Amino acid sequence: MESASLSGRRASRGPGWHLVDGLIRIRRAGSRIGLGRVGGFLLLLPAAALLAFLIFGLVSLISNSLHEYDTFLLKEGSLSTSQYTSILGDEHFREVLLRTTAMAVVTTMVTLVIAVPFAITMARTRRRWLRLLLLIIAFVPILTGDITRTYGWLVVLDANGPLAWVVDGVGLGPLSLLGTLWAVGIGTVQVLLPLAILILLPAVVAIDPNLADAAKTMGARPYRVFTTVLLPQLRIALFGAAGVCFTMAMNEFANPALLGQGIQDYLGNLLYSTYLVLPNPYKGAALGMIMLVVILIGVGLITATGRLLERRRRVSG
Amino acid sequence: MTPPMVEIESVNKSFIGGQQVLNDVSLKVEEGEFFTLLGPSGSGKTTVLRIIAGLIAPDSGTVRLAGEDVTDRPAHERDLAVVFQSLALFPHLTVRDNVAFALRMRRIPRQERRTRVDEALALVQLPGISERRVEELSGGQRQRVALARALVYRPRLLLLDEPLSALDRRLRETMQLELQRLHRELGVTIINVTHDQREALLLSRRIALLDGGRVVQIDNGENLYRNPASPFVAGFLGDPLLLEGTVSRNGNGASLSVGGVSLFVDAAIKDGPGTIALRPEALDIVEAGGGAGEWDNALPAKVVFASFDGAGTFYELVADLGGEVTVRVHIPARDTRPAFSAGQAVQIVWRARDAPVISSFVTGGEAGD
Repeated sequence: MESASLSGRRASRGPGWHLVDGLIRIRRAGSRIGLGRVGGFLLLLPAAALLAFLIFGLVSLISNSLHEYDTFLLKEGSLSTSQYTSILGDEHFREVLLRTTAMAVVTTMVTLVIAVPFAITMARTRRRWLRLLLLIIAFVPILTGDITRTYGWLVVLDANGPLAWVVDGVGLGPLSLLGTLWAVGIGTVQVLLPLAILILLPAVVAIDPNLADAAKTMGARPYRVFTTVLLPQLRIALFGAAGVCFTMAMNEFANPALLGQGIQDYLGNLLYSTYLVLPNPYKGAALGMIMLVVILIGVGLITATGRLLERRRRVSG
Repeated sequence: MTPPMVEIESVNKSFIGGQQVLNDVSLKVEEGEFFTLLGPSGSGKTTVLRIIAGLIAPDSGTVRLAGEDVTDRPAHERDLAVVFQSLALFPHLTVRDNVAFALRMRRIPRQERRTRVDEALALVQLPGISERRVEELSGGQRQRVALARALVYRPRLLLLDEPLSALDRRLRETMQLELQRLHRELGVTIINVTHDQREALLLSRRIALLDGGRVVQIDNGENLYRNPASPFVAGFLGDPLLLEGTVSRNGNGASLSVGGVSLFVDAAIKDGPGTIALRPEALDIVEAGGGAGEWDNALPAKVVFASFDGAGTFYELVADLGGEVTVRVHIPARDTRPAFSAGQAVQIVWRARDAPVISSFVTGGEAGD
């Protein structure tokens, strides 16, 4: 009875409500049929299949990484940890690992420093054109695809490109960024920025705008409003974004390959050449496992730091 | 003579998109006064408050606090306190840290901070909850914490942006009395924003009534109620029936003619077009056919609906004023006469001085002074 009168009122408001009523009816019919306990588990089937493939792949990678491999005869050898010892003992690997990790930490931090004011401005501005502009700056690069975006930077950062021309014109001398960590870092930050913004944006929107006003009226200057009111409430999202950015940066491939011109290799590039150029998929499997462990440790440290800060705040009160 | 605590002069404000929210607003609030900005939603009352607080900059006009021009001074240097409609308590801090916030911003040493937070919490009658988190508090407790946080640094001026509007009626009435007590005890100047006419009349010494971004009338509650400057003011206070007519004079005094019926009005009222406000609480009902008796006016009517509402009996009647008009009458519970029943023919009676008449030169338009 009640729903009938409700839908009657809605229908008078416009055709859109017919759609809503229809959806509600379908939903009610669905809940009447009921899936039961077994049916509920059926819904998990696609996810379970995906997980099964992932586990299968991981197990076969671990198994491969623990065998010797003859790169001439392309034959699997006996069970051994030699793949790991040879990688860890390799000077070049350690250099690449250090470079990748250090760059991942730096690019993550730079990204967050840019992303926080970016997300706050995007969420709070009343000017539509500004919000649209920020949206375009942040998200159009992901829409263009990896290769196009990176080639774009190749043009911009080239020794004869527009950036070098401007710097030289100002009188700072010739600039050659390609092949340096600067180029790789700039490219990586651009990849990470939209991810960090996507994670921070809902957290910024969830903060009551009156909180900042309240802090102002209590004598907080803008800088203190930021550090005492906004940042603490963004903490969870910040550490989440840091974890995602770190992982993505550790897995970078296109930027070091193209902007680093092959002389600033990351672990991803080393993995590629080990797998396909060398080619030693067994050693590659071991390298992949090492990367996985390094990333897990990194994300673990980031999460632990976040938790620690959270606990300290509760204790200090 | 001390300058007024707050003085706003010819303030204008338009928002992005060009919509004008404040139109030449001027007002003065004396030191120690409890002042209310009253108006319907969209009347600009909250904007006035935010301009005083420094959270919004006016397009033109000046804001003075205690005689000092603060129009261009940022909010964090204005030394006043605001309680927001959403309360804006910091969810990531405990009650103590919320209340201590302003003291921390003023670099007051830890020890003094502790004692002053405890004092402030005692002042709002909330001792012993300082280590709790905001989300663990009830609605009423949050109100009190927000008040304590505003009062902890002994501001000269307290601005209230409808903080009571979200409470249920009983709690709201408790908090209204609480506000009055704090005002008495601390002597702080308070500007309260509300759309609740009862709250405005109950709490404030003076009320500024706003409509469409303009100040319509500033006066004490009783004057606002008895001598409204415009039909809008009369309509906003006391929920009356408004009838337009023409005031003229004859041998017995002044009367307002509405739809061919002559209603006696106060002799001081000017001739010409006017609007009479018939408030339910100013009217009474007597048996039909008895004449006006001690009352100035007697209007034949028929009871349509009657219901006891606790404070008295509420009646809806129809009367003939050049067409059927619905009149509402409220008779207080102490009246011991038997109640009138639906369908009964009666007379609506009132004294001329209880029904204000607003003289107007353009009917339905703004009030002329």
